[in-house]
Amino acid sequence: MFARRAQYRAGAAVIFRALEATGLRLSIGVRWALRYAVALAITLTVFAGVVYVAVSRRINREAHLVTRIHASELVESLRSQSEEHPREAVLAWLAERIERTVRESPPDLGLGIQVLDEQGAPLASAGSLRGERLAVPGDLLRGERDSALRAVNLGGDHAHIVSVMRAQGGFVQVAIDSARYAENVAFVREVLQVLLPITIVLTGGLGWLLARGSLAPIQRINQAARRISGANLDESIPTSGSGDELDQLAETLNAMMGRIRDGMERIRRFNANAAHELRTPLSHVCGRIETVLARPRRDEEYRDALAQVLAEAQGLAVGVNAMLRLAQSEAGIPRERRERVALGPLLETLVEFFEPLAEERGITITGGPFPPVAVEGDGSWLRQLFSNLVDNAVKYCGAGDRIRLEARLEDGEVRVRVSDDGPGIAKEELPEIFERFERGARHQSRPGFGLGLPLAREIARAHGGRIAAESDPGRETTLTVWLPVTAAA
Amino acid sequence: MKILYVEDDPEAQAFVQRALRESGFVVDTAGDGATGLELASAGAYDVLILDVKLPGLDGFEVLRRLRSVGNEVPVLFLTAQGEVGHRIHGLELGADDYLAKPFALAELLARLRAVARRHQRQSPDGVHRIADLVVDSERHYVERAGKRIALTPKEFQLLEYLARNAGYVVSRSMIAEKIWGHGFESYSNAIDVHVNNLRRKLDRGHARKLIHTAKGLGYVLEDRGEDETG
Repeated sequence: MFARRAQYRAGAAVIFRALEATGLRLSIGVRWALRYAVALAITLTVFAGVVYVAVSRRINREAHLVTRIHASELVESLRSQSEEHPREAVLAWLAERIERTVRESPPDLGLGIQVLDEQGAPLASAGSLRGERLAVPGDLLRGERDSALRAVNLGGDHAHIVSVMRAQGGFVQVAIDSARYAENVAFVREVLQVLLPITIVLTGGLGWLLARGSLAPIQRINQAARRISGANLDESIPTSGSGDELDQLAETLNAMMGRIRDGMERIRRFNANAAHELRTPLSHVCGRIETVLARPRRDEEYRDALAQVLAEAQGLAVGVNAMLRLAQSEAGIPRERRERVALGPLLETLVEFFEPLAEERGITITGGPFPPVAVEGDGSWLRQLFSNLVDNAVKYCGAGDRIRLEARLEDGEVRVRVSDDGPGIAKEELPEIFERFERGARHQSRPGFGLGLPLAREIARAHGGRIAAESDPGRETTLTVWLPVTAAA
Repeated sequence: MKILYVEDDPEAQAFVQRALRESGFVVDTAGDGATGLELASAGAYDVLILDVKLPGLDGFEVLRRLRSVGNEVPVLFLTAQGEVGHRIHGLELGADDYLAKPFALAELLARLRAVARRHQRQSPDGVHRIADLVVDSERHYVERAGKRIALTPKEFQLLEYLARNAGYVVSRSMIAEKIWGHGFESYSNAIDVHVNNLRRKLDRGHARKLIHTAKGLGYVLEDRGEDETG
């Protein structure tokens, strides 16, 4: 059975491959329909085989029954006749009786009756058994059995079914032509043979229609998705509102499109802001050069102008480098460049590095002791991340303010907090401080490209961590970084 | 000092070569890795400046082949900004220093001199003497005019670095890299404060200033006599 199924599957695979080889690309609908048809062909064939076997057995049993009924009726009559009449009278009655029975039976039944004596010699016969000499099976003659059933060829297309039964003083044989029953069996077979392919073809067709129907929404989604390009990202795929799997697919695609839209918008804003940030110093450079070239000047004037232009250009280079670093940190850290970075020494160095600068401005930096934890990543980027946070705090604090560095291990992460009691960040500016070029009011008067905190965020992300800011202006402002910890250092 | 400069960008090649010559270096140039390797193998150069991205053999490959035949010429790599992998890879292959483009020419000159000196500037007993200043690396001991000066560990490291390069300018980013590690280069103001603190401890009360500012670039430790104001 399973071997058979495997054969069918192999056969189906061969057909699909052959179809594909012709260059015909089958749509999902057609493939589903073909699969349905193949599956149905297998089950229907099995089903039809079972039906055929059951029906034919049933028909044959009926044929047997007919012969046995005739035989046992005759046996019964013989018994009652023999009790009441002498043997000669019984024989005469018998001859007349079987003749009548045969005469009254339908001619296509091919009924034949024969009565035999104890030795198996015929006493009287009628119908198809007239003149036939059918030996009584040995076990009946010996009295081991009372009845037997067999098929005998009496000439003609079909066998005769013969019932032999022990009777009063001999045996009774009743034969009928099996043709009528064989025809019934053949009819059942023919019906099944015709119905089977028709059903399979019909189901295949219906399956194709059904598949096409259920695939239509996918086709719709497909077309909608194809219409949507960079230019009209605002369009979305219509949903049917039923909330089914296809609606979910459409919603997933719409959400994805939304994220792409947001990403594109961020890139667009970034590009515009970057161009704007670069334009100002560039126009300064051009303006200075033009002014100097406008008329002949003394040597030191040229030198001064060139020095100023150089300073401007170096500022530009710093900005461009910051943008490049940002782009690189977004791409992540290559696995082969990751190393175990002990965070404690890194933060201690950080405090040491900024302490004199802060002190000079009247700011106190405190930090440590730091827990002995290690982070997997790039040391120079991690230094950049934390120094950006501390530098930011130093920039916006004034004399008398305090900056505090803390690190704590919690749930497999290390949480590093850089907090200060400087002027802080206004609530409405908080969400923007990690966005590129989105310098809040407190940033406006400061130099730089405003990329420090965005870069810090990207570095944290590249290390599988995150960053957050909270501020209670005038009391406490805290930037917190969480990084996954690899091991205790 | 004789330098081989391997760079495929003709414009960069032209102005860097000019700047190097004007600073008193003898400069040979090559436009691709194969030529660079040939020249480097044949000639006796004091320093090699290698661009990482070169047609044919790249800078890494040139360095690898040079080192594999035992050529230990000091090498300074030039590479695109922020290629962290490049820096580490280059240093692993045996490069002496690394500079990201775009760079300031003064920065290149300072690093070039430092790289060229690397092999000959070890003072045999680990003691540096500049005028009346004594810096003892072994004993972590500093004195000026016979009087001991107490320094923090970082200040000592900084002074030792300046002393090892005495007479030559070291840039702020060189100081940041050497003393605090990569990642601190952009905070030149913090570095200035560190140097100023050191300068206060070293030069205050002495007519002869030893730490001098190289405008727009970095610092130099040297004895310039008494009327220098620093």
